[in-house]
Amino acid sequence: MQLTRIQLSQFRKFRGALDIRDLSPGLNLFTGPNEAGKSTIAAAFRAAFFERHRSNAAQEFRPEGDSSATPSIALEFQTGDTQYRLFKQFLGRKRCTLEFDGRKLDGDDAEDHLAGLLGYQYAGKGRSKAEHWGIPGLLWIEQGNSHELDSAIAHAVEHLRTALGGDAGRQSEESDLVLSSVMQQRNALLTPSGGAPRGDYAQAQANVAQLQQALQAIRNEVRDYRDKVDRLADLQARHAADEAAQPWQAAHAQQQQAQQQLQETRQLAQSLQELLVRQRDLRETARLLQDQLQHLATRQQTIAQRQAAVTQATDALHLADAAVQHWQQRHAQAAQTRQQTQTALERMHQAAHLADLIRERQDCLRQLDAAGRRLEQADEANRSLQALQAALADLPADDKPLARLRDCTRRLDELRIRQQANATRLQFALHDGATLTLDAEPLHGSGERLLTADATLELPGTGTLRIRPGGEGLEALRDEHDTLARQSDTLLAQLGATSLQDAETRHLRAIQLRADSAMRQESLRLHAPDGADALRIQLASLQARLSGLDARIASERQAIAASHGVDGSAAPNDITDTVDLSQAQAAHQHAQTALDDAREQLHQAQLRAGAARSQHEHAEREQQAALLAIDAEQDRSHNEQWQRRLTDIQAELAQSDIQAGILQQKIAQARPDILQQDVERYRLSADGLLLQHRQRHDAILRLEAELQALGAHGLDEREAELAQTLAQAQRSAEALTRRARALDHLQQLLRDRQQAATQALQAPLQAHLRHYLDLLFPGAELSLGDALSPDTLRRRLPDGMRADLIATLSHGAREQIGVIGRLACADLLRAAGRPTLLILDDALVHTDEVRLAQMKRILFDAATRHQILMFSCHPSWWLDLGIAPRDIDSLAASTLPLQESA
Amino acid sequence: MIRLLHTADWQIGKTFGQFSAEDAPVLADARLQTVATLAELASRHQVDAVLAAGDIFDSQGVSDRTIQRLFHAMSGYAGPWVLLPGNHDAALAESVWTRARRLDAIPGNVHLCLTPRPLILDAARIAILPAPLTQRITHDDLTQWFDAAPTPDGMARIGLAHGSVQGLLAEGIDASNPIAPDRAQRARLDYLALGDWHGTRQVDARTWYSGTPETDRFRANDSGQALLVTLPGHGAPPEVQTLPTGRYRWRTLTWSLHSSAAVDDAIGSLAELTPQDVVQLRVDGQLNLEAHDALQAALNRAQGQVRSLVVDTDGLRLEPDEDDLRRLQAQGYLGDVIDTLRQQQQQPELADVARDALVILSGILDSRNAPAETGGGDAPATQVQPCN
Repeated sequence: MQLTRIQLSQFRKFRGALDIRDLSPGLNLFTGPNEAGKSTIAAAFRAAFFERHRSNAAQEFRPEGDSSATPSIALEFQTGDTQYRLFKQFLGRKRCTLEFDGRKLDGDDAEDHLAGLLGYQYAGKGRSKAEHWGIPGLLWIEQGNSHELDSAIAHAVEHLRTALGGDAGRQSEESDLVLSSVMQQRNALLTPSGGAPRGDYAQAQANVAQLQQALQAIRNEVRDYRDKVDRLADLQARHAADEAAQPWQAAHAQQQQAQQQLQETRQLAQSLQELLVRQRDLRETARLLQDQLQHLATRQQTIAQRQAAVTQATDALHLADAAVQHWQQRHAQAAQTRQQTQTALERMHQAAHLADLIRERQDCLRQLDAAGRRLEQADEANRSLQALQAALADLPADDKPLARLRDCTRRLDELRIRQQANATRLQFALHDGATLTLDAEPLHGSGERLLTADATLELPGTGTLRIRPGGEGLEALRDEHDTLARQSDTLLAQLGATSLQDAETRHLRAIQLRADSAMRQESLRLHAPDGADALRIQLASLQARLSGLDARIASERQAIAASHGVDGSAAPNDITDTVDLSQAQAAHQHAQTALDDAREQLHQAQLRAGAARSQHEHAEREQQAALLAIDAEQDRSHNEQWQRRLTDIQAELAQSDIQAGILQQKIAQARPDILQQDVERYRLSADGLLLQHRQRHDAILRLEAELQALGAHGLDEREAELAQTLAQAQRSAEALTRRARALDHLQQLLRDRQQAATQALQAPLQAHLRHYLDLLFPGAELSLGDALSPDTLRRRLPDGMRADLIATLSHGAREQIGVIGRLACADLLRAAGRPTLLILDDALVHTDEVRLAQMKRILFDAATRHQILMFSCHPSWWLDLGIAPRDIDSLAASTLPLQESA
Repeated sequence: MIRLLHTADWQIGKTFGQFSAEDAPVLADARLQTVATLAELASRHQVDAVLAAGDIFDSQGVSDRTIQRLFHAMSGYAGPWVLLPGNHDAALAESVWTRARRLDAIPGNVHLCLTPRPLILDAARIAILPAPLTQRITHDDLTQWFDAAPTPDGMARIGLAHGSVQGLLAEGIDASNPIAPDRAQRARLDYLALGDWHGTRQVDARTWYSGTPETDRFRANDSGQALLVTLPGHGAPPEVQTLPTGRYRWRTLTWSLHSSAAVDDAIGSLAELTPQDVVQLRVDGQLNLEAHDALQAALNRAQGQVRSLVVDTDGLRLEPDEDDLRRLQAQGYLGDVIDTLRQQQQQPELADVARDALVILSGILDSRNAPAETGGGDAPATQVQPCN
């Protein structure tokens, strides 16, 4: 194939027209910088063949911004002896014509003829793609795609095989048509990729599935219907059996029997209840009787108790009186004892006092003796004090007795007042001349005496009245008064005074004198310490004192003698043991205590005696009252009567207990609760059975109606018809299955064979390839894959053989192999008399200088057999290609529109 | 002398799913027409009664219309019809019989024996002892009561039952619904009319299976007829005569073909087939493509000649020869493919698919070589059906 002229109009870069003439039958090099339009020429050339003139993809052929342009191309070429002119115009006025051998083909016919001539296809719709390009797609290398040989060969291999087969090729073509027919039929039934059913086959299977489902549904209905028929038969049989047997009647009879038993048991319970009521009444009566009997018994008991209480009170009274008597004696004894100890103690005190005075006198004598010996020396010194000392000598030197006297006197006064307050007042008013004698004191006229002790009133001519004052404590007061009076007398004697007044006076005088004496002694010690006067005074004092003491001792002894004289006891020694005194005091104290105790005990005994008497009187009154309240005869009569009744009642109760026991046992044995349940149970059974019977009858009627309705549907017949339809559908589906399997099998076999035929092309292609390979890689071998594409490159390198997968080679090497592979294919086609044209659009841009030199040799060699159009933006690379490059820019763009015909 | 027409197993409502959609309804309808034939025979032979021994209907659930059509088909004979329920149409609580009664479809001269009670046909001087099935399956001998059943003096004692006579039929066939083999003798029957076995069969001098009046299966069983039973009287044994009633002949053919000549012979034998034939044909052997094509063409033609033709060619192998290849112009690798398929027929797992593929390929090539016949890609018209 030789291209002689290319014309473009309104095509991309070329808004006007482009006309390239006089193309060389060998190499043709078009150069120009980027964007100059080289690729536009290549694209226009491809569009002229690959795109249908009606294609809307042609929009992109319009020059930029010119939406009304009508891109058009005209090509003139020859194959063998035939001259062709192709005109194609897109978009605005779509047109395609092909003129050759005086014929002119239009539109699709023209395009189909071209496709058959060159071995390519058109896209079914849309833009033409690489898979449609066939042989031209292999030989016309697009910019940047020279290394992509595999896919280009794969898209061309069918066309190659057909084109190169010769006789075998034509047979293969025939086989391929059979294959495509098989595929078409197979793909009508199965999806091309997955082999899943489609179309009629899928429809048939769906139909089977649907029928199976429907059949299953109706079979279920049939089974349901049959089950219902069986149930109906069963129900009818049981209904008839029940109708004959009437089992509820038996239950009803049982219910009535149980009811009867229950009624009887209830009557027993009623009797028992009445019995129990009677028993309760009897028990109540018995209880009342017992209460009354108890009451009688209690009354008898009370009388006895009161009698005993009186006796007891009498005994207690006697005991209390005896106690009073006892304590009266004890009290008298105690009083006597105390009197004795009192006397003894007083004597002791007198003796002690005398002893003190004697010791004082002895002491005084010693001092006097001493003072007398020193008197001469102190005589003069004491003279001035003598008078005072003399005056003082009479006076008591000690204040203590005075204080005690004062106290004594005060207490006596108090006692006297108390005595007078408690004393029995005797007032008298005597007629003139009349005289009464009170305790030897004659009384005249009128007056009053206070009696604190027993007194005797002499009634002249008449007799005597003895008056005993009864005031409380007078006796004690009198005793105390006597004691204090005796103390007072003792103290007055001690003080050498006649009365307290005298003692006070003497005391004041003594104080006065002592003060004066002290002043004088002080004055003496100031003028003459330890002077004679002092001694003299002392001596005198002592002598005075001694005489005073003697006087007092005498007086004291006189007193003692007087007291002892009464009982004639010997006078005690002057020296009295102080121990005796304390013993006497203790004895006296003891006696006093015993007296107090006896008095208290007596008092208590008297109180108890009074209480016992009162108790005794009370008991006697109670006894009397009780005796008055009862009627013994009536009580006895009642007692007998009530006892009799009680006995009767208890006998009746015992009898009725036995009766009640028998009744309870009968009731317990009958179990009325269970009987009640039996009645209910039998009633429910009878009702249930009858209800079941009626319900079953209803169910029969319902089921009969239902079955009548269902029966009219002719279910079995429908099932049979459906089964028949299903069987037919299954046969259809089965036939389609077999057909699909057979077609699939056939397709597989045919494809395998087709593949084998392709591989038969390997050897001649390899031979052509070696022609170029020797120039590029001397001694190397290139093996081809099943689909004719180069597979492995084996080279002899200095270090031995080396095998490389093409895919692993450098971009440059793949580019070079891509070009020589295409050249080899072109040789193969040419040898088979097929048209060839090679286009290289910047095909070897990655090739180094050394290889480029080899490639130039290869291209030059190839150009001796094929026309080659080269486009390059590197004019300098190709200076040694042996041809003159054409500068795109210099191809003058004419504005003439393209002519459809030359 | 008493004359009876003994028939059974009408199986009205039966369908024939193994046949095509055109043939199946025709075969089903033929069963009703046969009843009309029976009526016509009964009238012609002036029988005293027609006895139908069970399986009158194929199922309980036939449509109302089918019921009506059956009783209408019986109208050709006005004498008494005695119908006995069988296992297919047992006298259940709700059955095709109760429905028929509700539909008021049963003419007055048709007697249903739904209970085991004697049926006295006074006019005919016949006492019929029926053994109706009241369950679908029973394992009791329902004819036992015949032995002790009294019948009026001077009347023929006729037993009517449906089931299998024990010990007579192959073990396992209809073992249910048993009937004692000596029932006729033990029950002093003049004749025992049986149903259930679809072929005519004599059990003893007085006991017969009539068989179905219209054949319904390929198994050779002497069916498609009824029995004309003549009782001479005075206890003499009956005279039994078979009367053909069937419309269709069910035939099974088996061809073993290994040559074109054999194919020609076989094709020739197809000529004797009639529209009354229901044929099941099994073909095996080994043929070249040409003979196979001729066979297929002949079989396709025969489809129009018979009521139904079901062909099973699974046993047939295709053996393309040189003539075939030449004729088909199987060039390039197609020859290889045909050879491969031919050999694959010998591998059991591939035999079917390989033969089918060969047939398809041959069809494609034929159509390409004869461009006048367009649409050659279609499957061959032969019915390739499994036989059921």
